Amino acid sequence: MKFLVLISASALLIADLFAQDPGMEPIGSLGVELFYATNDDVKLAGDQAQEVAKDQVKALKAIKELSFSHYRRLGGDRPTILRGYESWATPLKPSKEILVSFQPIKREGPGKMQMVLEYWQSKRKVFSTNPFLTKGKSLYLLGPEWRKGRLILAVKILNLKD
Amino acid sequence: MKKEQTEELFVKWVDGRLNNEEQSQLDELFAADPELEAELTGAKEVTAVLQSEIPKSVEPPYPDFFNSQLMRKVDLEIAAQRPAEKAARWWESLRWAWAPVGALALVLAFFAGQRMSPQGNGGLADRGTADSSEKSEELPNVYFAEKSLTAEVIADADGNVSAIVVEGITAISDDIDFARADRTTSLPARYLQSEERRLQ
Repeated sequence: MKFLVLISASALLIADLFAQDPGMEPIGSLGVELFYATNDDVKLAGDQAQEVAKDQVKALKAIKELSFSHYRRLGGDRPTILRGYESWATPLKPSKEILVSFQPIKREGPGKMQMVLEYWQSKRKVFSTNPFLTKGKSLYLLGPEWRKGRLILAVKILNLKD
Repeated sequence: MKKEQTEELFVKWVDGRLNNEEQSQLDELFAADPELEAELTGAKEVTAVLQSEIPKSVEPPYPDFFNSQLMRKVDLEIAAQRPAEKAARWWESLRWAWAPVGALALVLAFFAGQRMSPQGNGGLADRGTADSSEKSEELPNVYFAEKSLTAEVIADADGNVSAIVVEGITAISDDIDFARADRTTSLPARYLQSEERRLQ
């Protein structure tokens, strides 16, 4: 009898160890890209900076406040969105000068979700916001000045489970 | 005319649903009592203003709490009026007709409260350049760590947020090379916790 109780207790313990935390379930992925925008010499962005796709430039220039003469892509990250936990994007890997933390708030129909987004600079939180993001549509955040230009973050839901 | 019939006439008049016969009946009552007409006209104007200001499809927030508070207000109002009821004229007992007006007023007050938020330097950004139509309901708020920051939320043609322009962020030093890992300062504790959780 004692043996049976011991076996049952062990089985329960093992099952508990392997139980998946539902909050850790990946429900999609977020694309975070960092752009350098300037009306000055675009070479100031450095050798690592990449050309920006034409459709991306068009989308940026369509917003008056984000319209600059030149754009360069400084980096990007595609972290997983967890159902119930905060996740982080490091768009300038390996540098962690700029970080973005995010966490889902609620779903708003297929492909749409409200999230908490936080912008971190030099390891300090600068601002947070709670936008509704639509899959495939970028939200641009005009950030700090750098090398006679501005940094622009583009945040977009890449995938989202239905 | 019975009291119930006149009450029905008043409600229909406020809602604009009287037929010709009922209108003539009411005209006779107004002719007999001009004060009655003035009071009902006031009620009709308030109802019209509230109906034009509040979308019909909006559900009251926290309905159970809302209903309980509303009924409590109505009960208190009735209790407060009881001593004067005997002296009041019979049509003044038509207080129940004000209940929907009171409900609309509470909903309006809720929306007014939602729309009042500190601008820019107060730590909470404005809700954008879009107008105050239904579209702007989905525009986000922006919360700042420092009071010196301001933000403008920009909406697209569909009323969805497309950009947030934040001004006042400390400029990043031109000397910083993003291609190198910066190990001089510790990372945020929340970042480390998240990484630890992810790697488990």
